[in-house]
Amino acid sequence: MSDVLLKKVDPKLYSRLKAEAAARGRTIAEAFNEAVKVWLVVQQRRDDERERNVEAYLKIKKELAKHPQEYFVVAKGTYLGRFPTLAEAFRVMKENKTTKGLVVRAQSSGEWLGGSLER
Amino acid sequence: MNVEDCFEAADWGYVIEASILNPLHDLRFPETGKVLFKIDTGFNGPTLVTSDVFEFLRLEEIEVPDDMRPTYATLAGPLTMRSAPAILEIKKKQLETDILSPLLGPSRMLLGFRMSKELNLALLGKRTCLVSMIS
Repeated sequence: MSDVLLKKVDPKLYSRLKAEAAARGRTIAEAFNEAVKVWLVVQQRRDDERERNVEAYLKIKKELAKHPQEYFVVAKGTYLGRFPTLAEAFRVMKENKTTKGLVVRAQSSGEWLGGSLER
Repeated sequence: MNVEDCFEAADWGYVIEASILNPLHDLRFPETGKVLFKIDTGFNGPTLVTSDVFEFLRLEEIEVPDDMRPTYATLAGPLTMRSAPAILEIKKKQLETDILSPLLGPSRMLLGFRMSKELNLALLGKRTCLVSMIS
């Protein structure tokens, strides 16, 4: 086990962690280790899902240029369709019980010159 | 031309009050009231926000894949942006927009030409005004 000194920890979160750990008869270190494990699993799941979404997106990528005004939605590793409005794209995502995915519309790059860069 | 609402310019430029909605996650920034966006005519993109706002709105959960990230030419070289769709609300008007935030480096809250051209804006002295056209 390592001894780690953490700076800038939110005092309210720390107090809650301490209280919850005590209520369950655990040390703060045990509660912290458990919380980190859960956080890492969640991050891994997110990465895996995004990877599957990108794979699905690559299959339909060529279609984007043919329908530049529409939103293409990929979620849960599946292409859900293309939609003329953002509201419809989000509605379909909600119907599919997902709040993560790729919502892509062809967009051009551009320029950002002067003004706001100076301050 | 009718002048409807005006916003006093800040020291750093013309501004407009707006908020951003992410209807998928039922999130709004700011949660109450509005925030000032600079009107930047030198930026021909849509809406730019700081990275903390991008994350607050959970836009990373629906952002475009890496190869679709737009790149903007700046005086300091190309700048790659994260991008996700959302709604920009100005007064009662809601506009679909792409929310951008630089992949690296600092950012700020501003509206580019892609959004300002959707609005009837007039710069009147030190004020930015929303106007309506009388035919």
